[in-house]
Amino acid sequence: MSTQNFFQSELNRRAYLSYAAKSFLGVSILPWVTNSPAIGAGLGLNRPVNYAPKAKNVIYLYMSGGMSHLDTFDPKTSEVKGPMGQVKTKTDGIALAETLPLLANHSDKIAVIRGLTSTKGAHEQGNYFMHTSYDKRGTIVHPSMGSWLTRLDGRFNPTLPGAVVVGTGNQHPLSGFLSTQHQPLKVGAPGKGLANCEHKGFDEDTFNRNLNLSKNLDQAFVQKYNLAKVRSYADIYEDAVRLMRSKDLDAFDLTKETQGVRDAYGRDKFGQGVLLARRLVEKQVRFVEVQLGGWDTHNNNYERVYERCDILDQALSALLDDLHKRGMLEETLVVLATEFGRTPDYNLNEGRDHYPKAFSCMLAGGGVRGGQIWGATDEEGREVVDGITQIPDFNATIAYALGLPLDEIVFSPSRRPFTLVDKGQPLTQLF
Amino acid sequence: MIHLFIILQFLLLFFPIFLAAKSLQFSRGELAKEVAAINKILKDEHAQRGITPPGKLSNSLLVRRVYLATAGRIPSYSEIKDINPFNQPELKQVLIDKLLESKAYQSQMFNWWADHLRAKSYITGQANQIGAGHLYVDWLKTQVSENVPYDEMARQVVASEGYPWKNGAVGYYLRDDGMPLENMSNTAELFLGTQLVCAQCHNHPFDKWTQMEYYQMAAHTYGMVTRMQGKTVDGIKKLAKDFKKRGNGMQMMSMTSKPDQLEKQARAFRQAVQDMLLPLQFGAQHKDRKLKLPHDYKYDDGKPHQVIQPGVIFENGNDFNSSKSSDLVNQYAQWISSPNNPRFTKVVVNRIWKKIFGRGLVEPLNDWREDTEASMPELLDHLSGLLVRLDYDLREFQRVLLNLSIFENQAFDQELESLAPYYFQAPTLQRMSAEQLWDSLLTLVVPEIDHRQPKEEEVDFLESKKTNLEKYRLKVEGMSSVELFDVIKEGRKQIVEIQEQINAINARMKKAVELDDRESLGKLKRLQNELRDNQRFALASQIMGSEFNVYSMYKNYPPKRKRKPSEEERKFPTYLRRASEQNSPANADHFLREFGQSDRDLINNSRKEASIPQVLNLMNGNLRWRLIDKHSPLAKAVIKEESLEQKIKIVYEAMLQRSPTEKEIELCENSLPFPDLPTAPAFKDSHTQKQKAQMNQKAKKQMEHYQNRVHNELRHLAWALLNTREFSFIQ
Repeated sequence: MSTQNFFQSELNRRAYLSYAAKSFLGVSILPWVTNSPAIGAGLGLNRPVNYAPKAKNVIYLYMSGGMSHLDTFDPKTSEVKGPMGQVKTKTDGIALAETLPLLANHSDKIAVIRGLTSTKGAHEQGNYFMHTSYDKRGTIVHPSMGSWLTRLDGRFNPTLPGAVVVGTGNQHPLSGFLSTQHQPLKVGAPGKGLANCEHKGFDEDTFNRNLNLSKNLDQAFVQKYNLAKVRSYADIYEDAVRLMRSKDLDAFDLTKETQGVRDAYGRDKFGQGVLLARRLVEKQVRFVEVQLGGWDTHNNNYERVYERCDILDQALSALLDDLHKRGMLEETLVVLATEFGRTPDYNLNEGRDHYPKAFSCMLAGGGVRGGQIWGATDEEGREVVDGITQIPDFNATIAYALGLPLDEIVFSPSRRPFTLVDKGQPLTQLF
Repeated sequence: MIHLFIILQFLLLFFPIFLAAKSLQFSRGELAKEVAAINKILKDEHAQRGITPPGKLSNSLLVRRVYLATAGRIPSYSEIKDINPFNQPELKQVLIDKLLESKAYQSQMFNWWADHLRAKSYITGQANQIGAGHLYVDWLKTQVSENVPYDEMARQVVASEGYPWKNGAVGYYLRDDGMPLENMSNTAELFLGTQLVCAQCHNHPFDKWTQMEYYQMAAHTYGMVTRMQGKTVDGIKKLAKDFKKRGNGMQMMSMTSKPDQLEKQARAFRQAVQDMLLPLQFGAQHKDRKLKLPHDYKYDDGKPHQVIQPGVIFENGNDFNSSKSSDLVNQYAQWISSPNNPRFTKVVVNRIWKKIFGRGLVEPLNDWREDTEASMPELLDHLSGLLVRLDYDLREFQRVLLNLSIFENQAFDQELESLAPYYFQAPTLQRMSAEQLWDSLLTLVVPEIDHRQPKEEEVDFLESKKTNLEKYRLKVEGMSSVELFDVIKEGRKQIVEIQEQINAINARMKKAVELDDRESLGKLKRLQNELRDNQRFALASQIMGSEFNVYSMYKNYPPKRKRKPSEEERKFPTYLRRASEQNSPANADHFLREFGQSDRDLINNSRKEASIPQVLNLMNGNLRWRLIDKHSPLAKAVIKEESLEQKIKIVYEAMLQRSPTEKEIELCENSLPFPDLPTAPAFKDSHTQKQKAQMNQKAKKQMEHYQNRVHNELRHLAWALLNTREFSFIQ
C-alpha cells in the first residue's frame, strides 16, 4: 500500500535526520523536524488546525489496584472522608488530601481530573480498559498507548526500544495485535539496569560469528515453520543486538546519577523507576510506564493509602521538579492513571472497595495547562456532577497532546479495523 | 462383627483412592481400545474434510515431544541413551507410562495447577504474615503427588475450611482476602469457563448473565469468611480494648514521660497484641451472614439491600434448600463438580487438550457462551464421557491423549488464525513454556534434575511452621482470660525494655549516617530489625516460652545462616532448581518471568510472545556458561568421544534430540576453528622403550590439549544451538 511505503520512508528520514543531527551538530534538531509541515502534518484527518502538539514523550505512572480518589486527588469534608485530612496547595482552589504534601508544591504544574467514570469494576477488565480504551475480550488483544505511539509516529531513537515499562506482571501494557517490534521493553528491577546487555567472555567478532552460525543452523527449521510466532523472534533478535550495541545503553544505568538525585526520587522500586523513566525520555524513548501496586485497599484503607502515597508523592514531585528544571516539562506528558476509585463508604475491615463510577487521574506537562481542575464529584465523591470523562476520552487527551491521529484506522492481522482510542474525544480545553 | 463390617465398608469406600494414587488405571488392552476409538473419530473427521495429516515425527523427535509433554522438560543425554528406538509401539507406551508415574510429571502438573488456582508463595492479603501462601503451595504439591482427581480438587478448595496449616486448601479463599465476590468470579471462570465478573455491577454486556444471577451465585459462598472467630480471639480483642482505654498504663512502666516516646511504646504494644492474635486470625470459617443487593441496584427484579437467595446459573436439577452456610457451600461444591454440570467436564477436557496439542477444541478457554461450539463437537463429547468414566483422573486422561496417533505427527506448519476452526491433524507448533524452557536448560546443566533436593533448612522450616502454629493455637485456646491478662501485662514490660534498646540503636545509626559509615549502618540496621521482631513476638514468646521458635510462625523463610556450601552446592548452586521448586511465581526479574511464566494473579496468565529481555538472556545470560562446563552432563558425555564428528553429534542429540545432517556437521567444522586431531606417534623399530614411553607421554599430552581446544569451540556450538528457534520451539 502506498501509504505504508510513504510511512516507512518517513520513519527512515526522520531517524536519519535525528542521527545525523546528533553526529554532525551534537544537538537534537528533533523539535524542528517534527514541526516541519511535511512531517508534522501526520497521517490522520482529525488534526487540530490551531494547535501544535507539544508532547513528544510520555511518562505514564500507573497506580495498580484502584487508587482511592477521596484519599488522594479528590478530598472531601463530609463524613465519607474518614480520618483523612486535606492539605492546601500553592494554587487557590486546588486542595489535595494530606497524603500528598510534596505534590502540593507543584500544583501549578498539574491538571487534576476528577470526573472520570467507568463501568469496569474488576481489576483485569479495568486495567485493560484504561490501557487500551477497549473492552477485554477473549478473542483479541488490543495494543496499549506506547505501542500505538511507536506504530503511528515512529521511534526517535533507532537503537533503544520505543516503549519501556518498569515493574509489571503479564498484563498491559502490551503491543497486542501490533507486531512484537512495538512490544514495550520490560524492566523488572530499575536499580539493576538492563540485565544481560553485554556478551561477557566473547569478543565482538566471536559473538557475530556465533550469531551467524546460529542463524545458519536454524535455517532449515525456520524455512519449514514460516509462522509469525517464529519470525517474531528473528525480529526481536535484531532489536536486541542493536540495543546491545547502542551508545545510549547507559540510560538504563542509574549509578550514573548522583546519590542526591537518587534519594530525591525515593530509594524504592517505584521512585527509582520514575528516575529511570526520566533518563530514558532524555534518550528519546518515547513512552515509559512505571507501575506502583498495592492500591487495592479493601483492608485498612487509611494506613495503606498513606504508605502508598509516601512513595508516590516523593517520586512524582521529584519528577515534576526535575523535568521543570531541565526544561523538559513541555515536551513530556506526565500521566497518573488508575483503573477505578474506591467506595466513599468504609467497609467492615476499615477498607474501601472498588468504585468505578467516579475517580481521579492527573496530567502534567506536554502542553497541558498546570494549576487546573477539570471535573468534579458531589460532596461525598459518589457521582460525577461536572465534566464527566470516559476513559477513552482520557486516553484521547493523551493522544491529542502527542499529536497522534485519532481517526487513523489500523487493521489487526485478523482484518478488524481499530482506531487509537475507539470513539474517545480529547479534552482540548485542558491545553 | 459390626466392627469388621464397618472396617470392610471403610476399605471398600476408600480402596479406589488407594489404587488411583499410585498406579495407572487402564490395562494395555483397555488403553488400546480407548485410543482406537478416538483415533477413529479423528480419522473420520479428516477423511470427511479431505485433510491429509502431516508425516510422522522421527523417533528421537517424538521422544523429545513425549518428554516435554509428560515430564515438562527435554530428556537428558543419559535418558536418551537408555531408550531403545521406538520400533515397537509398546516401547513408546512404556516410556509414557514410566514418565507419568515419575516425579517429573508431578513437577509440571504442579505448574499447571498453580497457574489455574493462582497459588502464590507470597499472597497479597494479611494472611501472608503467617506464610499462608507457602502453606497453600505445600498443600497443592501434596495433592498433585497423590494424583487427587480433578472433581475432588474442586470440592476441596471450594468447600475448604479451617486453619491454613491444618488444611492448606483454605488458601483458595485467603488469596482473595476481602474480595468474596471476585472469588466467586474466579471460581466460575476456573471451573465453569464462564465470565461472570462483568455482571457484578450491571447486567453482563455481552453474555446473558444478569446482575441478579451474579449475586445469586455469590450468595452460596458469601458465608465463608477469612477471619477466624471464637471465644479466644474475641477475648483477646476485648482485653486489648480495655488496655487501650486505660491508656495502656505506659507511664507506669516506662522510664520516660516524653509524649512521643510514650506514643512509640504504645504503638509497639498495640502491634505486639495484634501479632499475638495473628496466627489465630486467618483461615476459612462459616458465618451465617447473608448477601444483600448493592445500594445502587437499579433493575426492577430486586430492591437495593435486599437479601439474596442463592441460585445457580445452569439448571442441573439441584435443590439448595439449606440456609446454613456449611450445607450451602457443600451443595454448591457438589453442583459445580458434578458430571451433570453442563460446563464442568467440558472446560477441563478442553484445557487438557490444549495443554497437549497446543490449542483448544474451543477457543478461548475461559469464555464459554450459549452458542459456543467446538471445532469437533463429537470429539469433545466423547472425551467428556471418557473423563467422567475415569472419575476425573487427569493423569489417566492425559495417558490416553498421549497415545493418540496424531500425537506422533510433525507439528502443523501453516499459519492459524486465532478463531479459525482447526481439526487437529497434528499438534500445533508451540514455543516451550517458560517452565519447560528453564527446566530443559537445567536438564543440560545439572544431572538428575528431578531428584534435586530442596534446601534442607527450607523444608524443615515449613514443617516446623505447621507444627508450631498448631501448638500455639492449642496453648492459647486453653488459656483463661486471667492468664492472658497476665501475659499481656508481663509482655508490656518487655516491650518497653526492647524499645529502650531500639532507641539506643537509633542514636548510633544517626551517628553512623553523619560519619557515612556504611558498614556499621548495615550492621545496626540488621540489629534494629532483630529487635523489632523481638518486640513483635514478645507476647507470643511469653506464652510459649523461650525454647519455642516463634520465628517459624511469623516469617516466610528461615533466618539466613552463613554456612559453608557443600561440595554439591558449589558445583550446582541451589538456584538451579526446576520451576516448580522455585517461588511461585518466580521473582519479577527471573528467567521464568521474562519468558512469560504466569504471575498467578490471574487464571492461566502465561504468555509465549518474544521480548528483548528473553533473547538478551539466551545470548548473554549466566546459564550459557554452565551448558558445557566441566560439571555438566553434556560435557561429561562429550569427553568420552574422540572424533570431532561424534562430539558434534552428541551436542546435537543432547540439545535438539536429533542427529545433525551432513551439511550441518560440515557447517560446524568450517565455521569454528577446531584443531586437527593429533597424529598417533609413529613408532620405529629403532626407538628404544624409553623413547617410546616418552613419545606416548607426549601424545597423551597432545590429546589432552586437543580435547580442551575442541571443548572450547563446542561451547560456541552449544551457544549457537541454544539461540535457534529449533531449540525453544516444539516441533
